Amino acid sequence: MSIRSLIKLWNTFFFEKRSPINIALFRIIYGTLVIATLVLLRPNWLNWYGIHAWVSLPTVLKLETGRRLNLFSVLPQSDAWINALFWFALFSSLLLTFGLFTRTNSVVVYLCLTSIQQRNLYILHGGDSFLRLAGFFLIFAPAGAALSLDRLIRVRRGKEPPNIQPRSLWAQRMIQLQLSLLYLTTFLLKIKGAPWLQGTALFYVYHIDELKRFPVPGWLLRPTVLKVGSWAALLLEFSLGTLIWFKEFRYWLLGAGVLFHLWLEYSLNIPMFQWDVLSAYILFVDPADISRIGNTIRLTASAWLRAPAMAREERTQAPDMHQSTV
Amino acid sequence: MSLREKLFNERYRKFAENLQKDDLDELLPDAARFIARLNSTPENPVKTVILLQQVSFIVPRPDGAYIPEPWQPHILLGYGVQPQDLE
Repeated sequence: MSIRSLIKLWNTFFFEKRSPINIALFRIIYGTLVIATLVLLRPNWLNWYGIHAWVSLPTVLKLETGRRLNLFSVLPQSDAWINALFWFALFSSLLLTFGLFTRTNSVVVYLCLTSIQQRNLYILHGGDSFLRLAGFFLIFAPAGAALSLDRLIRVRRGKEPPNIQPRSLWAQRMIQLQLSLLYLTTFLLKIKGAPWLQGTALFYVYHIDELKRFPVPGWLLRPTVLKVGSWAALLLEFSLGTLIWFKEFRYWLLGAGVLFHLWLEYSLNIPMFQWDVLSAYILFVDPADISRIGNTIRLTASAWLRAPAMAREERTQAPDMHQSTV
Repeated sequence: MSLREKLFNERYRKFAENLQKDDLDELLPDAARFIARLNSTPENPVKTVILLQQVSFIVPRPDGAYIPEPWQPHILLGYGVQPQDLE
């Protein structure tokens, strides 16, 4: 392989123009997840971020040194302003979900999300960090180039053709890389400790009372099953971090990943984590397959909607037919 | 706790996990002040807050069964509340 072909490969991987449908769908899911995160935080908003919160702003600034993007540091120190930030973040994430002023709102949502996380780092899970990082790259992505109110307005004004135009892929690639790095680093961290290698890790996880959500059948908690489960989780995380880039394995791995995260969502109480991670799976789906699924849904929905209308039509026509035969 | 309560309060689990870390000891006085404010009334102000860590080891038995070990308390912090903490 020559250097020139390597450069070409690099350019194709990052800068090839493709349908922005994946990133547009990701924007919708991402916006919805940010809204859900904010809604779940709402009852304790001032307990976590208020003037008299569990952790004060001076303590956070003392513990977390260096410059940080944190709107709480520049906001007037009152609970009214801190509440206003909540509504501002919620409104902006709603607009981002619908794709109105998409670029501006992706910046605003990123700023708000980063500030919320920097104000209290001690209540975060990996899914929160993933949302923050993905949000950064979403700023640069053509997230409003499809399935957005922005596009609808542009098409109506004649500023954009009705067909969705292909766009540069690099920002989407960065989010994809982020997801595969998430899995790979998780795998590398896990194999540093004995419990995952020995296969005992899940035994401990499933016996922590605070983490339990819905009942798990007893046979799944048998040591042998948990041992196989621990190793399977390791194998899957390694594969999702590496093999996902190969087309031959991609859909199998995405399917296994969905089942894995749905199982964790059922059995463990870590709200939003699984959905945060699963959100980026859409970026790995072939745009042609998304169009195919979209068309199938559209056809099924229109047939389903047309069926009662046709039945009504038949009912109204029936007396006429009867009269003509008599 | 109901599932709904768990959903809204899950962040407390993570916070409690971090409160117990040695390198985050500086969080403890803030947490003690918050608890003092929460439980104080003008007639009955809180004077001391003691943060206890309850530990129960998860030990797999030779046959793979699990029987919860007894909880052992450890004091994380004893905090003397100042009048200004309650403002």
